[in-house]
Amino acid sequence: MKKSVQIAFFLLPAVVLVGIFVYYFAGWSAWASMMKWEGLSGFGDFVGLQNYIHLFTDDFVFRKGLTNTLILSGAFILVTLPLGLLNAILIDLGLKGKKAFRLIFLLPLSFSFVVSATMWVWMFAPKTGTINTILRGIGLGALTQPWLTSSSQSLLGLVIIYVWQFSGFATLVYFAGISSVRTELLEAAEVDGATTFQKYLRVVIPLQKIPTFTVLFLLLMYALRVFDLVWLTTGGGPGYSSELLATYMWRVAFNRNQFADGAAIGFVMFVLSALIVIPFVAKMRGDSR
Amino acid sequence: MNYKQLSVPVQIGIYIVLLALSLFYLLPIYSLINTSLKSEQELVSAPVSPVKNPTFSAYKDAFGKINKSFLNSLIMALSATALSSIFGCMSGYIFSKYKFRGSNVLFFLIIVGFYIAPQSILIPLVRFIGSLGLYNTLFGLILTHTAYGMPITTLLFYNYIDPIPHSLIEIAQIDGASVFNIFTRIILPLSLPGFAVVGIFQFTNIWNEFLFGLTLTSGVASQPVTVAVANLKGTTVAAWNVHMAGAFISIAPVLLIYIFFLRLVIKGLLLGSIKE
Amino acid sequence: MKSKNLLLLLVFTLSIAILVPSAVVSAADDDKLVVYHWWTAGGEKEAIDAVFDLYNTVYPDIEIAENPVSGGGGGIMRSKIKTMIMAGNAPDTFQITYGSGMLESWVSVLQPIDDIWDELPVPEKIKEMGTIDGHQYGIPLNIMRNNCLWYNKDLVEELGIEIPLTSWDELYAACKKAKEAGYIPYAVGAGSGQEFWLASQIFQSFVLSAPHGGPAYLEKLYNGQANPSEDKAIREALGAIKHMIGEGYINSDYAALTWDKAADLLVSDKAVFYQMGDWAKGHLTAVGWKSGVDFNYQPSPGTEGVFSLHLDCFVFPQGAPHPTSAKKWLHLLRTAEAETVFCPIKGATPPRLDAFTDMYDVISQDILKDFRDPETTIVESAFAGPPEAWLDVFGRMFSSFFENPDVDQGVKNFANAYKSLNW
Repeated sequence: MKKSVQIAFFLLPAVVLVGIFVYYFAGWSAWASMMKWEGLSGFGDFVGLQNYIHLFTDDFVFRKGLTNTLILSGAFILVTLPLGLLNAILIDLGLKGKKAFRLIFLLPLSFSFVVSATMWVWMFAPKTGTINTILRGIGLGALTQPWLTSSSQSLLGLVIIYVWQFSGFATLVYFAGISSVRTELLEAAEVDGATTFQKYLRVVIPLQKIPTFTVLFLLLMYALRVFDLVWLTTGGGPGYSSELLATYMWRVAFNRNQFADGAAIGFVMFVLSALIVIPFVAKMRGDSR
Repeated sequence: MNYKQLSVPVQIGIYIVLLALSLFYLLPIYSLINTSLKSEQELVSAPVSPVKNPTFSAYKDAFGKINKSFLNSLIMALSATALSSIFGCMSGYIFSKYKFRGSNVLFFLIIVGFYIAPQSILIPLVRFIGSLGLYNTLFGLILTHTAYGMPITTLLFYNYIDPIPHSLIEIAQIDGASVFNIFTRIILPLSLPGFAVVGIFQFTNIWNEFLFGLTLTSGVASQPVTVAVANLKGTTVAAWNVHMAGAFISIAPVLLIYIFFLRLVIKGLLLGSIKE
Repeated sequence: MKSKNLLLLLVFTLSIAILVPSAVVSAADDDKLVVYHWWTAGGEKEAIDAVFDLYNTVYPDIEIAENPVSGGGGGIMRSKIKTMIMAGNAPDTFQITYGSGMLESWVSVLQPIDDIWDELPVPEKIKEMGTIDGHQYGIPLNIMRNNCLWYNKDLVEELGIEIPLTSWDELYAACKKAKEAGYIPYAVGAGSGQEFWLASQIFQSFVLSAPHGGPAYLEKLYNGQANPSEDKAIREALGAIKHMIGEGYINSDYAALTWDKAADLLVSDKAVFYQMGDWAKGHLTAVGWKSGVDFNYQPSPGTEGVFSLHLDCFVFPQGAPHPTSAKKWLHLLRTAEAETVFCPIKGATPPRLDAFTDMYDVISQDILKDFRDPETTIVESAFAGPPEAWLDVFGRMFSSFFENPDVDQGVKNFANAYKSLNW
């Protein structure tokens, strides 16, 4: 058999599957988002960008979903990056039990969002929830909060859940980054009389650009796409307070039968993820050459 | 680094921080297990306090409700993991060892697929799987998870296979070995440890997935365990102990993998995110 | 050789991967009836099971594949059906609420069943509600009254509140008394994805009784012919709700409670009034209360003589895989026997005018009397009068309003939400 035929055969599954399930579908969504498609019956006329114009100018819930998505992503990343770095440094200090702590920090990553959602709804329940009950139990009843059931705290609650779920991943990447710092650099710093604290501050942390970059982009991806965790905790509420693009897409399409709008929101998400990911993958591939 | 340079008070301080952090990570998990072990009466009388008379009755209830879905998930995750791993090994091998015109672009286009938000392809996916007659079948889910696994398995195997020296391939080629022969004789045996890493990565991801399970199934015949657990939350009587027990059963396989194969888990996560 | 063994193992796993699913999938399905419904709670589950039993008695050869999907007032089940239809996998029959807007939202994927409907002996209004372009699409199984205000009889007596309350002023006065005595005057539960109660129960009862509101306005509103930013009724209803919230008549944890938990506040003597459709009776009796003894209902204040109605029905989708079984099912549902088996257990009332009435309790008898009284004004409820999207759109809108009861902003949001339904 010719070499090129064999090569084609080896690439066939990946190319066909990704071609259909990613690119054909994304193209289909883009096309559907430019049709009139309301109700269960199927397509109407071609309307061009009208659905997008409607979303961006007319639909304040869509805009709310977009800003909420950005706020949530921003807050989540601002907390997770330093926390992940802190965790990694604490593990790196090499105290006894470091393996156990590493497992503990990583454990939330193993939980499906469905299970995380279940747990956190229970944790945050205003009357019978773990957090408020503990607060009352230690005499801090004044600090109890309505958490996910109030529109001013629902996003905060989601940020806490996201941080819980994903900071282990940041820890992991930072830990790998810290471990790869060359010992000569540290020894040199030590010769200069640097304390442990100064060694981290002056040598280790400045070398964490690539891990930071990696964590930042992967977390952004997750923040954009996570659906189940939000859908099963706040459902986007109360009011519109925690509506995200991912939940609004589902709501518009499957609760309200406005399928073209749903496809349009889906395509907006596609563009957003492409904007995040293409520079990232390009840079990562570039660095490895 | 070396902790001996740290004074004892500092060490104690660090432990306090570590324990506080652990509390943050473990409290929800403790809460989950604690609730799942309660009887209905104890749940009503003392929902949060530590369980006094642990019982497995909630587990029995929950298992009766999700056992079929658990099996579905097992078949689905194992099959899709196996298929996407072998396909990913094939394409990762080609992208690493045979450069052709456009191969870099093709490789880029494939791995970018990993990062696509699933919402953006949800509607066509449902229609497509339906048109193949695979709606509400395990086959449909396996196909879908295999497809969306391709980008990451390709990348992981590429990263795994790339360090295998090209000279090995060249020698084999001089001996007249075909692309296929080199794959079975050199690449596959050398990347077998890679299968463990990729397999674990894929299995945990697929096992935990919810949205495809929600949209591509309509009943117990094929519904994965994540969807079954979400359904345990009834409308009226909130049987939280059963819900929590079901939740715990549903993550048990992944939890065990994390506890016993943490090294491989970490390797997969790192290989998937950065270059080694 | 070690690597060969591993290779064998891999091939083995792969073949299992391919063979097992196909074995699991292929099950014979000759005489089957695939049904979707959302009755999973105590009472309603037993009720629909009784109808399945009846079907099995008449057609012992047909196997019922029942798929209960709870949550969201049927919304979760309806989303599921949409993905099924999108995938070309319609069931044989499914439950939806019966009314002009809901049926209109679904009609493009349904088959007319005029031959089965035939001369169903129900009030003309019901026939009208279900007629889309001259055809019938759903067989109603039970009727539901929405405008019911439930009350704890002991507490009402203790507080010296005179029932029935017939105006907003009387409602406010009663709530004031209850509040001063330390009770929750007006229990609301709309958490955990149940925001739609705020629109379908609270708002609807206030707009029905608003000075410029009433049944005729509600009909206009649900048909897409209202102009919410100008209509006085909307502003009045929002103002009344704002008053209820502002005076502290509504429990502040409404967003953390499901509807049944709010009903339980009545049972535990914590709350006095509770606005909910007549299915609340099923829940209250299920937890041990006696109809007419421990609790009772009155029409929501200011809605006397009005019957806010929706029904549950089953429909016949296009592409139903077992059409014969489906038709048999619908034929069975239209009988007085099916209604008689279903309604008493569910705590509901039968739509057929010739259905027996002896087996119903005092409250159901009373509801039935109002329903059959030609003087009663029947008006469609939020569950099926407006298009399907109404509950989701306005559930969100009112969830936002309850958090921040600003009438001007509320009217604006209402008008926006109204427009988003693309009438």
